[in-house]
Amino acid sequence: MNSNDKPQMGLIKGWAVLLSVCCFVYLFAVKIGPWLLPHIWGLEKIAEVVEEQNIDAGAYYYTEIEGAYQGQQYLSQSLQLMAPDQYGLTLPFLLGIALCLLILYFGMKSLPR
Amino acid sequence: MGEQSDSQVVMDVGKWEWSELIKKEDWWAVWLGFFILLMGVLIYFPHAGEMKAKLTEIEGKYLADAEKTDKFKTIGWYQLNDARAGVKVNSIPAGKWLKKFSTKPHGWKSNPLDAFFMTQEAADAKMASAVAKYEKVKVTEEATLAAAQAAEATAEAAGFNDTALNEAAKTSIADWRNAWLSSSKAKAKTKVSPYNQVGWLILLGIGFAVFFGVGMAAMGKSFKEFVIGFSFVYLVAVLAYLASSQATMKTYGVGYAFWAIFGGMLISNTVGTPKWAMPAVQTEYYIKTGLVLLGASILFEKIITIGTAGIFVAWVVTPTVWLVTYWFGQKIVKMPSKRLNATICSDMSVCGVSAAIATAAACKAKKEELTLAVGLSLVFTSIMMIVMPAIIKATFPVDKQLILGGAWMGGTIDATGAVAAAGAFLGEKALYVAATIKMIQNVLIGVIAFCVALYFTTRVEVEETGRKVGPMEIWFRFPKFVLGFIGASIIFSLIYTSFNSQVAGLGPAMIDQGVVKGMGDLFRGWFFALSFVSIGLATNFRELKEHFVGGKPLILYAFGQSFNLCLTLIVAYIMFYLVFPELTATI
Repeated sequence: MNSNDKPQMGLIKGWAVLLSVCCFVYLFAVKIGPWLLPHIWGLEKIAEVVEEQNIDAGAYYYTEIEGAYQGQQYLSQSLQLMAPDQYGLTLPFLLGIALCLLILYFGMKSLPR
Repeated sequence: MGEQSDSQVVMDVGKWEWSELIKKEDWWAVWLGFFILLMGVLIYFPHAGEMKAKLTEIEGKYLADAEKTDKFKTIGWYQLNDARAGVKVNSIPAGKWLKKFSTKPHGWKSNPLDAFFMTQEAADAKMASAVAKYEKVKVTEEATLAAAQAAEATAEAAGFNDTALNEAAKTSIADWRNAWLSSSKAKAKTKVSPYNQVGWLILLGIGFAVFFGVGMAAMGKSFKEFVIGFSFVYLVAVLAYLASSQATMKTYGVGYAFWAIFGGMLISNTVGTPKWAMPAVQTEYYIKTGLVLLGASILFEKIITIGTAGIFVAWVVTPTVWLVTYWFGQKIVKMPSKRLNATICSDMSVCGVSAAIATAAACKAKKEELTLAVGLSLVFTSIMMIVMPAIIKATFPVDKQLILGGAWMGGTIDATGAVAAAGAFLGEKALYVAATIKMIQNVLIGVIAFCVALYFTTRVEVEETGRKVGPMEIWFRFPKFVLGFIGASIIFSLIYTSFNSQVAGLGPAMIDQGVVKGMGDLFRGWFFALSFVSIGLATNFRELKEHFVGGKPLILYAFGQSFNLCLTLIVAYIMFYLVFPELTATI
């Protein structure tokens, strides 16, 4: 672990850089970023959709997105209603899982030494 | 510990000691993680009867209407699912308190103080504006519902045997759903209350300091020094969340992980990390505890959501891309670090930051390697979130944009948030398909982490030390927190399935909305933020640059993602349109 016993630059310079970067980030958030939005194709529309549907575009995991839960419910219920023989632990489904595990097993064994 | 020089002799150098259970960090991550999950069980499970009764009542009210035909989804079908989704065990008072206790800084536009304070007057003004918008869309929703009901009744009068009437009903219901979606989102925005976040954040910080400090003390470190240092690490984590909650950053998809690493590195490479903060710079401790919580949300039943097509896109393509990219990294690019190679493969092929965290911990990657992998993922995620919908709109046939486009984006864009934003751009169904494919990939994290841990323990570390090792040594070296991670996943997957077998929707109500969103998830994000801050505070720019020499990580990521894009598109097309078109027709 790098403990940074000494600052990488003089203290005054260090603070100046730190505060300058913070100011730039704030400026980007409040002025530059919003100005850029209409200049990048599609980003303005994405911004609209994100705002309207309250999506956290920076989320990293499915539990942080309401759409994942809604999607799961919609898709599984649709399948159960209209194609129930395709839902659940069908043979092709189990073959897919088996294939995944086989790929992992043989793939890991064959990785270059 | 004894050693022998003969490399053919199997070595069991490590020795199991029971005191490890309270002295080792891996085990403390398991105990702390399971403590939180157990609290979730004790708080929420006593209310299972209540939730079951509500769901049964809902079924009694809507099920008949929902199942009156399988030719299209009726209004009753949608109302049944909407009602089920509204049953959430974390709506009990304890759940609301926990949410308040753990809330991150709120969204803000230009005044950062808005993230911490909202006065009654501001709340009233915001609510008034939201109510006005809601009233407007509600009128449209009511009108479209009336039209949909009329169309459905007409189709029903023909016994659902008239194709034209069925199509007309479907179209009317689709219009109603679009209006309903706008209306429900607008309604959610009318729930505005004033807040003062500062006190809660201080209380939360004290809680975390004690929570982690207990483990530190048991491991022989100073509780006092840890708590003092923790105040600094926690403050930077709060600032990271503050930055990520800004409106522009949310739009660009720049989340807390980036800000935590960035903020930490900015401090450490300018004014320097204070020495008194170092006892609390405990990257692995926080990450492993967070990973045990993550395990509880890896619920195996979710992988059946979209049937066989989803499994092939998410679970067959992903390990193939992982292995091919790892091989490419070792043989062609000649990555100097296998651990960096593995971490990049995971974040690119599985699901971004969460997969990178799990893999890095499983293979004991360096902090700089995790930082690099996460950085690459975040940059490409932002680009793909914008570019992929554009390509789909411009090149895909209209009838394939939503489902094929959604599956393609879900299987390739790393971060779930970006997947959701890109999917929503195309339409509701694209959002559902994309987010579901990503969710199924998220479930694969546990399998990948376990395989990586096993591979590195039994092959890579053996090659590095030049000695064969026996089962006890493998056990000694195996990262124990992975067992907690997998254990949490298996336990809660079984409970989830058991709940669902009692009444449909009970699993989501009790586990998804209870133990996961009502407990584990409230703290997991914080723990990962603390770990990323720790990474940043302990990382030197020069050390990070060394890992990027020759641009090899970038070449590896670009190759892997290109392969991922091609293979995912091909497999998604084959599965959704050639092999299982009847499945696709249900969406």
